[in-house]
Amino acid sequence: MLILESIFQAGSGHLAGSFSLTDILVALYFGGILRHHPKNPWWENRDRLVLSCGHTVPALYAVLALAGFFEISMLERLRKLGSPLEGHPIARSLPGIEATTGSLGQGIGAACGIAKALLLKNPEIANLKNPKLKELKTPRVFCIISDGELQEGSVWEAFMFTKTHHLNNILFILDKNDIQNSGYTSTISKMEPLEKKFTAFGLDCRFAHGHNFASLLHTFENISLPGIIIAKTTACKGIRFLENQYEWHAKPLTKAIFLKVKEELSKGSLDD
Amino acid sequence: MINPFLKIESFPYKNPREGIREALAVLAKSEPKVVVLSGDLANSTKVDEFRKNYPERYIECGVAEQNMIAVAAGLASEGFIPLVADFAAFVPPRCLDQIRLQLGIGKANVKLISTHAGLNVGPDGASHQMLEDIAILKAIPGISIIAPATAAETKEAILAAVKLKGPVYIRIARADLPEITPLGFQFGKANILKEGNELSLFVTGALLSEALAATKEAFWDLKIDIELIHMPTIKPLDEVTILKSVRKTRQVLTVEEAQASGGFGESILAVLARFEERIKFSRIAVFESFGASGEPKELWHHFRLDKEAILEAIEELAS
Repeated sequence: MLILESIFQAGSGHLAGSFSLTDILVALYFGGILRHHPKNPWWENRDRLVLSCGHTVPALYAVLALAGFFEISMLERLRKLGSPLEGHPIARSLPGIEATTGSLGQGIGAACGIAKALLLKNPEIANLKNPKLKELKTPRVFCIISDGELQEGSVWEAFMFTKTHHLNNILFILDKNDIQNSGYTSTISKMEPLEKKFTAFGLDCRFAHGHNFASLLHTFENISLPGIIIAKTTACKGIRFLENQYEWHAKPLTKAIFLKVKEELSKGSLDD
Repeated sequence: MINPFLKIESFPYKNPREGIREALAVLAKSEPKVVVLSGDLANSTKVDEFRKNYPERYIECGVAEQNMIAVAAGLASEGFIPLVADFAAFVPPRCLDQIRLQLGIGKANVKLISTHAGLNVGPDGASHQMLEDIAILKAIPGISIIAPATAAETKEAILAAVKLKGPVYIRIARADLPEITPLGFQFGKANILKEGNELSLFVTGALLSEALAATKEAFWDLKIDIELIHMPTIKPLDEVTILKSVRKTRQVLTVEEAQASGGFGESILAVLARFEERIKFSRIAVFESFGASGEPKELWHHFRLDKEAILEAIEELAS
């Protein structure tokens, strides 16, 4: 609801991806996965979360606010002049924002750079043999990418870098909502078979239901690093009359639609 | 100030890229936060000695420049000072989006050390002779641009860039050049090499030796007293020194080994347009053209960047 209201107040923003990503972020921040410290946001031993698909940042802003990184009332200032809640995130502009993204295929490289920096600080990690995410005591990097983003060549450059540099401290999470700006992802570019591709790049590839907390938590429990979770999600999740429609990738909300969505969300359809 | 009447031949030739090697030898010990990245060009950019001696601080990125810049930004966000050593033909253009977003908007503290800038690359030809880099990067807010002329100045520029907080681009020639000393690099400061009253000659980067030779010949043969100002820092521009000189001479010639469009000369022109009237202005640069294969000296002659072309421009301005 906070995401919806902030996007409506902003007059623009990416609804579909924000809603497909929300449950993943909730699992990370409220499911005991991500080691974070809202009152000491740059705590040295925190896990780093990089949102490579920067356009879905309304979801991250809302989750960070709910987690206590900043005041919830700041969400009203999404995309407003002078507000740190930029339309796409800028590194360190707000507590909890680790990287500058908004042009697809860049945050993933920055996440690799952060992971490499953490390895320089803890060189022994590079010698581990595919450690489990949960077993790694030193900071880990969580990098969220979108499926349309996989069309950027630099994403695959980053995967090669990951393997070459033994980044045993990075987990990629693919928000696979099957839509992008101008169509369904499968009609824009043939990217399958993704699992084979990710495995060939040396990643532990697992599937999860991106709107099912038990499934997400189970996958976080078992995955090894470097790894990637293909999280099957639904664009505009929870808004039944808008779900899975690519047209809502970046469409501004009219007041009528906003009120209708608000009514539907208040009935609690985000329950599965 | 150096003696401009010394013969250019009295300066031994040296490769300006040696300055990279020398700077890294210093930084390896003095600045533990410095790490070096390259896209499979460690030897060509003279960071191979650092790679050999400090393998844990050298990060091979492969031929993947986009990822390299993003990785550098990630390293910078964790407090490291990444030096990215590559060819100017690839960094900035191949990864301009990453430079704009990570170094520009994100202000990542990354230093781009790009060699093989300009026509002096020689036989490799147009694809490898970067001439547009100044124009490209000048347009991105917050990125400092330095074009050193010698190995010693390259070394000083790198050491200064590491001390600065924020992104810096350093463009370095490939060819051996007269090692004109002493220059005494100071970031953001123009360097008056010879005082004069009749014409201000502003030069940046590898063409310094040609400009110096032209200044000397102009004095003896054309009887024109030139003020020769070397400007390794292209951005931010030392406007104070420019205006002080121009108010005295009222005639300006700029010299650079880059595209005229968006280049160093245009930056100077913008300063003049803002503060001064009735200044005679001309520039030596590459006009709406790419380079070509050839020997460096041959190319400088063909594209009208050499001493001869500079002298002609001086004569024309003064007439």
